[in-house]
Amino acid sequence: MRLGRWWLPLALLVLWQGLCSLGVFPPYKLPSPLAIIAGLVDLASQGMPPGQRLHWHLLYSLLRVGAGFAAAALIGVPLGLIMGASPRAGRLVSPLIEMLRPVPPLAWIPISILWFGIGLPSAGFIIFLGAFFPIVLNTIAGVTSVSPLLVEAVRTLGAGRREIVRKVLLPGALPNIFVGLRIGLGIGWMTLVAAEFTGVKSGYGLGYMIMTARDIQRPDEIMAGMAVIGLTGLCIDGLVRLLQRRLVPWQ
Amino acid sequence: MSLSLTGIHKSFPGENGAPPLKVLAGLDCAVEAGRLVSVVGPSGCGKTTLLRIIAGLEPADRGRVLWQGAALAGPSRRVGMVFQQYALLPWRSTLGNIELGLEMAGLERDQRRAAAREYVEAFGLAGFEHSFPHQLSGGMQQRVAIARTLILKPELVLMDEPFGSLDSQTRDAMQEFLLSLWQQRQDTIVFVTHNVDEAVFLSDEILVLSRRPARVLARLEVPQARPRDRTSPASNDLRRQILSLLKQEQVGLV
Repeated sequence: MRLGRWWLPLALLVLWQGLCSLGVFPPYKLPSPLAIIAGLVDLASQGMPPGQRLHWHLLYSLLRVGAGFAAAALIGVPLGLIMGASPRAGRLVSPLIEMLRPVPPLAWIPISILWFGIGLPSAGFIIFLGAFFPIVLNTIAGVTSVSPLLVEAVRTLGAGRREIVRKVLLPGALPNIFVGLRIGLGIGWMTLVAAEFTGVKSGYGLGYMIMTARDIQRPDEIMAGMAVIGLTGLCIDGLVRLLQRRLVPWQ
Repeated sequence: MSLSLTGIHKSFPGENGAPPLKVLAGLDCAVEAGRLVSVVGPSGCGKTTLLRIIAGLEPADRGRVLWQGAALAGPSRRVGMVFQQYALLPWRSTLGNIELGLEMAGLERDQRRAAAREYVEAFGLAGFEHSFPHQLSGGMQQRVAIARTLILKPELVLMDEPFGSLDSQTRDAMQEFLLSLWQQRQDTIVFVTHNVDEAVFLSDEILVLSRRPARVLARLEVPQARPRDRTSPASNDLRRQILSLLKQEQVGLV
């Protein structure tokens, strides 16, 4: 890693710290980077609310995203494969998807709390909705991007419908499926925090942690929480990209 | 008497309200088993459609396709096809592509590997077993595609301009390679090409098709013994004869 890519963010951090030290921004509105780091240490050691420490918040948030995202992938990828492979299925289902897709996942929060109450099922449902549509749509795009010539060639080698899907359409769509998974995971992660703002039963979650920090006026811990969310999102995306390089080596 | 096509009709719906495109209107032809027969014709005359019908990739509107007396409807293990654009799966290695048909046939992994390795050896692909198609030259890709088809031991092999995208030296080498394979295997090959030289060099027999809707204009025997000299007077005469037939068909097309 060379310094060249990082000088701009570093310079901004230094500027930010300088302006805060000079008293340009009041600390109760914009804490300095050093204060945020101190807040991060507090979150990790003492917790917010006190006793509920950062790693547990992170773990609960990851669990919610994991559940919602896994459901979205397990339903979205097969559905996308079917819709892409069979024009009839595509025509049947796509109006429904096109109708539901523009509704923001956050707009589902009230109804999902009504349906599932506050807790893992309702948060998982919101994340599912955020991740599902990009996964389905990119899987369909991936299947339709596979050259019909490959399908024909494999048919002359004796492949039936099932083998065409398993050996041609699925691997052929894999690069696009990964695009969908990455977008879906990103949206799911964003959606999660908002879902947690509205309340959690367990008392854990990064969104809940941030809202608690706001309630007791700790902007340093609010921004430290935001930084944790951003960095975690970056790490998850890096992991998916690593997996992609493993599974799609021909690209 | 082995492959026989009788009264094959095929038309495609016209686009944007155009009248339907009649590609084949009552085509009859026959290919004797064990022969290498080329099909030449003006471009767009329906050579590829004909091959796709025999392969079972496209249903004929009317007519019958018989192989050894049995009707061919849909792809069959007895019929293999090689495409001009190779049609290899880009995510599979050389071995993976060659094994593809054996997987469909339900062979065990070890047996597949062993069979594929034999073909890798015989097809001059040793050292490239684990390469992906995009890492291979055009000639090598086409050898992988041919191996993938022949490993299933089809009785009838359909080839749709298989050497059409190769440079001329590679093309000549591949023609020789195909002939040596065919002489060992004694299978039946129907070889579509727009290249008259190629047809004259390879075939036992050449079917010259008319322009659309295609019918068989001429059925020419190629009596010369192999190995053939590409520039012999007999080859030149035959080439001249075919070219003049094709030229008449081109009149009014260009």
